[in-house]
Amino acid sequence: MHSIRTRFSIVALVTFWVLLLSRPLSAELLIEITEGAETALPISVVPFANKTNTALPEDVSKVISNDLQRSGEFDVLPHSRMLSLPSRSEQVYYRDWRLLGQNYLLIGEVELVGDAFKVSYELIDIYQQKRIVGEVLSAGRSGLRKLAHHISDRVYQSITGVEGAFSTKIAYITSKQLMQDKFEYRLQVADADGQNAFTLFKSQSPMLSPAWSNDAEHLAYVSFHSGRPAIYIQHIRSGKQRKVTGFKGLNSAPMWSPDDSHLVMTLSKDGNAELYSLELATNKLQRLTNHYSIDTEASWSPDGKTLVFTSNRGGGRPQIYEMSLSDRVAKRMTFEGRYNARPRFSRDGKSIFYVHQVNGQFHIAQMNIATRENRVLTSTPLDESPSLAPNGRMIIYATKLRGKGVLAVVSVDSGAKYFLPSDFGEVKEPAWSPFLN
Amino acid sequence: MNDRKDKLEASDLEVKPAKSWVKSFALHIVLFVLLVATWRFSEPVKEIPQPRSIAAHVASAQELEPLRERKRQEEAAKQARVQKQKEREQALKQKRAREAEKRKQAEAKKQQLAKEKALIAKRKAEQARKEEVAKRAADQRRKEAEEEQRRAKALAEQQALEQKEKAAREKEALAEQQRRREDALAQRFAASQESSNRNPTFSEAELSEKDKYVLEIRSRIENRWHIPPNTRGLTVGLRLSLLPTGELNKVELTQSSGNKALDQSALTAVKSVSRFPVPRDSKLFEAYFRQFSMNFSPSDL
Repeated sequence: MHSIRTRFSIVALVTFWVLLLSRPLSAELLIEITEGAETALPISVVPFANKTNTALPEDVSKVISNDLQRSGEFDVLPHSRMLSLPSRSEQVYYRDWRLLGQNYLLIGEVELVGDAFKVSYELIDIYQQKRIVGEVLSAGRSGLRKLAHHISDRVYQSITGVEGAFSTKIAYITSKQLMQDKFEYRLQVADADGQNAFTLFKSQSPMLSPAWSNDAEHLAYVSFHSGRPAIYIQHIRSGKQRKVTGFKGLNSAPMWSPDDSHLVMTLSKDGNAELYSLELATNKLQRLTNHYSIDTEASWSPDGKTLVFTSNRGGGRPQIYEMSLSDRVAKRMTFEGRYNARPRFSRDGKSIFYVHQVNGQFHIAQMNIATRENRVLTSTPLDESPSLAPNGRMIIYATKLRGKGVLAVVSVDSGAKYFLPSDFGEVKEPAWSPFLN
Repeated sequence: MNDRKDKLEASDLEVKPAKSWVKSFALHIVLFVLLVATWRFSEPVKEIPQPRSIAAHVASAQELEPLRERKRQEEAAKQARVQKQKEREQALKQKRAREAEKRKQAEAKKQQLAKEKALIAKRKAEQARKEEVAKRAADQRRKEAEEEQRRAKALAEQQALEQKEKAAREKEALAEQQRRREDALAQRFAASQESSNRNPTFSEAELSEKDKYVLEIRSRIENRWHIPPNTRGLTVGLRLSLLPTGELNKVELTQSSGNKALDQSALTAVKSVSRFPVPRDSKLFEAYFRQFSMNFSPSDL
């Protein structure tokens, strides 16, 4: 009888512990979140309080609002919907902003200290009820816009973790017919939002393919002003121009190596369009391809080991090829579509952006190099010359708007798009600068 | 049993008259045969007196010789017949003797059989008697065993009941211990947290109810989470503690992704939910939603 009792208690104990262990404390509910909101991030940029008693030459908070809105990643609340206009964190009623569904709040004020403007700002996380970033900056009258772009960069980086590209520049070519048979071409450099444009070089002959050096000091481009195409390098600040190549035939599509020591270009001096590498310090030229078809529009990978380029060696139609500089064996990368051209490496070297023809229309597409997956980023019919922002978040490209050549910017992730204003004729061949230090 | 024995004896008696009839029939046959045989046998023995007249005839040796020969032959035939008869008689005698012997043997065998039968019957009867006794004993024993079982069962039930009560007491004690441990943990995570009263068993309906709230919470968070760029493959772990009203009591970062923007985005997403959808059933709430974890892992674009 004792053994039965013992057995009973053992069974009861084992059962109890099994039940207990089958739902231990670690079996706490775990919810996996893998998808995020499809919408842009709600942010309020409150008009900065003007404590200068004068009209400001630049509406700082408006410049910031436009920057953030254009990135495609933020949804900026219109001023008219704001319940209050705080300029300091102690004036913020979090509940108000929560009710408006705002995740972030940017507030600030502008004071005049002597001849300089003192701008202070604070970025506030509404739901965590804390200040994320804040600075006190100062600038002269002409520097307010640049200062605003700087704040945009800080806000963008604080929230997304990615460096903002609002303070960078773009270069592009404009053309305008002045009279019959008389055109004016301009190589221009502007802020990333298209403002503050200035002309670096102008000519009555066409210009093509501006390319930023990686130190953002120089632009290389093709100009026909000498009567036939030649490649030039121009120092941006000094305006000093020098001719790099002027061979017989084609001199086109210059692109800097990552260390700015070489230019890769397309020359037809040996009878056919081939890729060459020019060492800038020594003017030593090296032929990279040797094929009876056309090889052109090369782009250097960020690690300097690989080139991607356009070639019609695969049967007449342009396709994109990659070539390791060590073995110089060209391998075809694109197989979708009849036309894939003008590839550009992403900043991280993991993808390329290029012109892709779909149903007779030309769009900008992105390909993941490792997986070969591609996706089309733009929807206008004649998109060309993609150039990636240095933070990899946006692409500037040339397209047609109401028959006129304009520049457009598209967000890589959200697909949000905007057109840049053009004040001088047709615009094309954009090139986004590296980060400026 | 006695009846059966009587029956057996009666059947023996019935057999007997039939056998004696056969015997007398056979005896008659034998006598008849003997008579015939004897009759035929005595004929040649009865010597017919030789007619002297014939003997008076003088016959020459040549004449006599065939006669003698015939007589010899007849004599031989007669002797052969006698011999044959004798042999037949002998054979018959032997046959009869054999038959008698056979009958005797059969009789003996029958008697033996009957004896054996009687013995078997006797044994059987004995066996039956023994079985009867054994059966009665078995019945008795069974009854006793059943009684014993009933008693044991009653005892076991009694013991089980006691055991159950004891187990329940132990369980309660352990559960109490566990509860205390959980309380301590809960206190570590949330000072305001009430003592947990988790019930380990939930019905299907309750579990599907739980899943419903999990889905609702997930979709609420997914609508609020703005995934920072370049964070694919990273994971943020958060632990949330809620009030029974669904309000967030506390959220803590249990696993940083290493990307500050991603960590913040997850925290912001959780904090931006004003009221989490939670079950009204306090048992379900306490078991799953009082405190739970969330992993934020950005998938493809």
